[in-house]
Amino acid sequence: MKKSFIDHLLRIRLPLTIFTALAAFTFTYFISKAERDGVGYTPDQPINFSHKLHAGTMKIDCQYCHIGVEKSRHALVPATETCMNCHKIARKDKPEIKKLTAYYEANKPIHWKRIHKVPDFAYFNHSAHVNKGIDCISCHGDVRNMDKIGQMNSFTMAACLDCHRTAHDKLPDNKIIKNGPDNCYACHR
Amino acid sequence: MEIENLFNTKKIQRKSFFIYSGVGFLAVYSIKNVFKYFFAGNTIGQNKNNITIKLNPFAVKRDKAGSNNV
Amino acid sequence: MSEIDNVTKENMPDENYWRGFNELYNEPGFAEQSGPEFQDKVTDEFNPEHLSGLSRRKFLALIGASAALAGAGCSNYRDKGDIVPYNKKPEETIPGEPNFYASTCTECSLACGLLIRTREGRPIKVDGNPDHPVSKGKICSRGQASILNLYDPERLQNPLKRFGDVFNKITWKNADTEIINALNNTGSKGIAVVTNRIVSPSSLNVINAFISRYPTAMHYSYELVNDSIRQSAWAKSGNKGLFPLISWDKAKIILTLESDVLNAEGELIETLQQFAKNRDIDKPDSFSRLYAVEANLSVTGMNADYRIKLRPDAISDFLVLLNNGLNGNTSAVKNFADKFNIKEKTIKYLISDLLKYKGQSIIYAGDKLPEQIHISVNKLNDLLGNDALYRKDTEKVYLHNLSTSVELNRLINNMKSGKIGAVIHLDSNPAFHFSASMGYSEALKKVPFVVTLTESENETSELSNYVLPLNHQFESWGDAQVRSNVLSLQQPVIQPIFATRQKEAVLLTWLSGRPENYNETTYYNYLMKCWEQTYYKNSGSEADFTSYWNNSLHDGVAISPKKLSQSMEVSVMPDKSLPNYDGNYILILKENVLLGDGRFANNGWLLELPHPVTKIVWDNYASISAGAAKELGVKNNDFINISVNRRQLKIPVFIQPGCTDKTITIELGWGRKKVGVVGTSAGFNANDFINYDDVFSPWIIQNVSVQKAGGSYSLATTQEHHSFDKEREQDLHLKRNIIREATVDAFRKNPNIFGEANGKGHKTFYTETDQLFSKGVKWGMAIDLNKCTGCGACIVACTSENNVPVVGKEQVERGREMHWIRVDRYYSGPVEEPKVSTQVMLCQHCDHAPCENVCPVVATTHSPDGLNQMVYNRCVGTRYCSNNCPYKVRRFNFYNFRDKFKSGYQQENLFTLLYNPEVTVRSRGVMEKCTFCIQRITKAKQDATAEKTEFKGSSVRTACQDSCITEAISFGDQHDKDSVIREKMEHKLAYYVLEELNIRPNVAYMAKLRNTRSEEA
Repeated sequence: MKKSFIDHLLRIRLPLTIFTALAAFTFTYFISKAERDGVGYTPDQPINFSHKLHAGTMKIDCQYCHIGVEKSRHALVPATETCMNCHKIARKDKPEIKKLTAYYEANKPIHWKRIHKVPDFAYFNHSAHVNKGIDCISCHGDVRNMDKIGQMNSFTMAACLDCHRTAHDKLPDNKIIKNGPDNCYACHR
Repeated sequence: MEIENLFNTKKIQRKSFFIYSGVGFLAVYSIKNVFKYFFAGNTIGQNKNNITIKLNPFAVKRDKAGSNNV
Repeated sequence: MSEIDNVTKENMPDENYWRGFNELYNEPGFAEQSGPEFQDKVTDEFNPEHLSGLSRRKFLALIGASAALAGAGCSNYRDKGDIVPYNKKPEETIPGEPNFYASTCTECSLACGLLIRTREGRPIKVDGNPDHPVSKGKICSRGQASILNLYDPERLQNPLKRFGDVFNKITWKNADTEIINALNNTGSKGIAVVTNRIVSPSSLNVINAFISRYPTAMHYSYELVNDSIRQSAWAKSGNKGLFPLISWDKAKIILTLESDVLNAEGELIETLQQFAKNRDIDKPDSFSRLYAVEANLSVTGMNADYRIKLRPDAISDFLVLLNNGLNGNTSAVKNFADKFNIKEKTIKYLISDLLKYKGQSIIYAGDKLPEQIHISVNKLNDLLGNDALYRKDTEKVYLHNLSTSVELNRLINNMKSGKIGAVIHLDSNPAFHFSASMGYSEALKKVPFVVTLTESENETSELSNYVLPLNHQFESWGDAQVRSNVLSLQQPVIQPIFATRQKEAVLLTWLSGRPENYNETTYYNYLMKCWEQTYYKNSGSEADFTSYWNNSLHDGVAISPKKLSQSMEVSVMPDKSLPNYDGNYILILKENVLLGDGRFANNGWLLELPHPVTKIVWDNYASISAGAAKELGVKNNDFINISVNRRQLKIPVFIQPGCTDKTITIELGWGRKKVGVVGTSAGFNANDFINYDDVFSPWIIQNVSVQKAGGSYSLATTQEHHSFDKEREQDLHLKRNIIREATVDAFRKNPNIFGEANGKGHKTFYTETDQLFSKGVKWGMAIDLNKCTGCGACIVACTSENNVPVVGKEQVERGREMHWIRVDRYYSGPVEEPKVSTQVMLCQHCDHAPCENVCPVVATTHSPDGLNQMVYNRCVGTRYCSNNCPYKVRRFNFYNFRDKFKSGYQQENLFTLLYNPEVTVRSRGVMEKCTFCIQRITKAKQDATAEKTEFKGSSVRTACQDSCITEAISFGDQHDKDSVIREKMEHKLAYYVLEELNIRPNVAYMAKLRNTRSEEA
């Protein structure tokens, strides 16, 4: 009696349990990969800024606001003053603009929710990429059509290396691009 | 006999299960969101550095590093 | 009794098992008693019906399930935090890009130019200002480390007022009001303003205005070690004005007498650069020859071609000998040499060299030597025609004379007798600097009103009524009269972080009588006005003043075509007769090459910088010779007691090879009592021995008595004490070719002295690597051991640039100092007269790196441009790599030193502003090492991409290269045919350390050529 129960346990129940667990884990791992990498992360921002309106409809250039992109390692989110350049006058009675003006007048910076973040131990350099003619869309997706900005591509090291190693295939229209460095010190100082 | 007993646990009452797990979830969630402000180096928390850095408006900067070729 | 009687076999309930008589006899009440769960009266405290229905098992099951589910639902794992831009961005900063500002260093009176790199509005690195005509883009290790004082969490942040024994904060307004009142009410009593040497003409103007406003006020100034003796001797030799500057680059023969001119004295930066010009291996014919006469081994002695060990009180006899020899009479040389145990032929060489190179040599006496010696030296120089080396194109300017010891003693007497109503210490610390026997501290207690203006608390502020915090030099405006035709400007690169003010602005506020007159631009406006009225007018510039001012601020200097000001009349000292040599113990007090006059006593970088000669950190010591140690019966680290008159000191001993017998050398500026947490109990205070009335010299005391005191101390050193008597270890560095040396004459005769052994000829298994690194950039470094003096400025620069932590004395004792670059010092030859070699050692970035093969997680790899990469996020801390490194240049973070050292001193809010944002701050358990400043390489590549130019290796300068005063370090692309580095690496004198291991390092060393006579070989 006892013997056959343990036997049944070990020969059927145990392998079945292990297999189910592993299958569930693997399935969930791969299905959730994109989400875990942050793809699709579109949080609410303190002020409902629409890139579709500004960058798409009004065709404001990315670099009008994100000024660091050609000069510095960081792309930089614009200072509130940049917004007030236009919004001192433009639509200044709309509720979102009122929120913006309140921040500006109170001299408090706006805490935007960060979307695109590479871990601190990887030192990504925007200007090196932009100055080689890589467009913002290649990594940040079609921002001009996003009402709420979100992460559209994976920012894992595998994704970076994928483009670094096959640069010509990923960016066929770029004439000056070469394969990017894939040694450690390129990013990990 | 002993091994059989191991697998003969009582069924957990469904209602209390959900109530307690819901309460547990809320408890840990709220504590974590409070404790995050106390952990150093946490980028999610608020900036603890209460030192203000201001530039001097009359200082004149140089264009670039300036060559150190002696 | 009765119960037992009633029991019979028939009515016994159960004859086998009964526990008590009640059960046995079925007493009434027993059945009810054993029925219910609880006994009587037990449930009075609780009600069994109202117990919870939850059993323990149920409780545990529920808790476990809810914890599991809570954990699952709880993490907001996608949250990446906030990104916070400016509200109003300052126009000149782009976050991520550094800004550079020119300024002046005011930590000593040399006023070298600074170029300060700032990020996001805060300074993070200091270098020299390349436009400064005197310092030419270089600063000393103290200048490099001065940035740490800005971010010292123990800086004074508020004005303090003393209430009894406690200091409490007060506002500036209250402090100013009270002080102005007190100053106005001193009546006929004197006011003393005590400062160090003032090099800023505008500052002096303010002080003079103050002095004239209060008729009883007098300005006193002092320096711990000064050159007043030299000034006075120059005047007595029949010359006008201040002593001249010397063109060291025109000197073929240099004789220094008890002068550490290459590390501590004189115009340090300029002297080093000029001296290095004549140690150029590409011009072997122009090599100079340095004779150093000194008692204790110093950096000058380490770099000398010939070193003559001589006590300072024998130098006058030596000069007589020289004088006779130069006139042709060398008969007394042998006796002298035998008496003082030096080589006779060295003196003969010296005499013949001086005669041969008349007019191209210089004899230089140290600041500490007595006046007669200086006068004799001046005469000798005139005799030899060496005044050709005195510079005529520019002069040094002292705006005022330091107070003589007579004046200072008079001040102290006046203070004691109550004649002084107020004392103002303007950024000076006389309670520490003055010898305790002068009685300054006791006299200060008798003064009713004492104000000290200082950056951080010190011994003088402890005795004051008011302590007012000053701006750090990076927060200050100012100027400095560097030379007669060069004025250097100081501008702040950051607004004062705390409620500090500039000392001139404080004085100006007091002068105006109204505290509300102060605003942030008080001194800025005053400075501009001074400039407009004097220098701008005299400069003959055609631009308007604003452009002239902005240009001067941009460059950091204003060079005028003519002399802008002149020195005051020098104060001449009274004549003294020179005592004779007596053969007793003599004490030499040396200036502190690490801490200056003690103001850097809380600076972790300088405290941990190994002393260039002894490699001891965190302490000072008494250097004695091996013979003296035997005589006293002491070993290393034992205490000795030194006493003379009523001054005495107990200090540990360090046996210094190359020291004269019966000489004790102690560095000043250590042993501060009132200092922050970093510098507490660092060193021993020898200031008490300074005696301006001494017969010989204030800093050289004869006839001291020395005994062994009990006990021992532990001196921490980064290098094991060299072993002279073990045959296996003696001269190991020469046998293993770690150090290769030759003489200039041998090199001139045969440039190929090292033959073919250049590391290229060895066979290897790894043939692919040769092709791997044959294209593109390959980084390499060359270190010229001829120019390296071993000062250690590169160590501080590397620490500053790469966020290297300070570890503290106990960790250094275990060999855990974290310096990525170090200077090794080797002795060869006998203990009494060793030859010293120094070598800078850093990661060699070997092509066949032994560390890369053994990392179990591949955390260290090799980049295609020849760098050995260390990836911190992958490292697990096996330490196999540092085990394998033959140069031992890998440093392991045994602790997170940032929270271990002095309970998290390096993690304070203010301190963390110092970190370079481009370099990772490492935590516990990772290995780190020199990266050839990869952050600078990447930045240069970024700039080249932005400007669409080709990336050249010469656009990268590493931190150590930038800071080396003599440009001994070269760095660049080995594959670039026109680069300096290629030329150096293919030089005949280039060699690699431990070449025979065939690991192909990429750091080449240029062998040291000693300019000794060929007869010596």
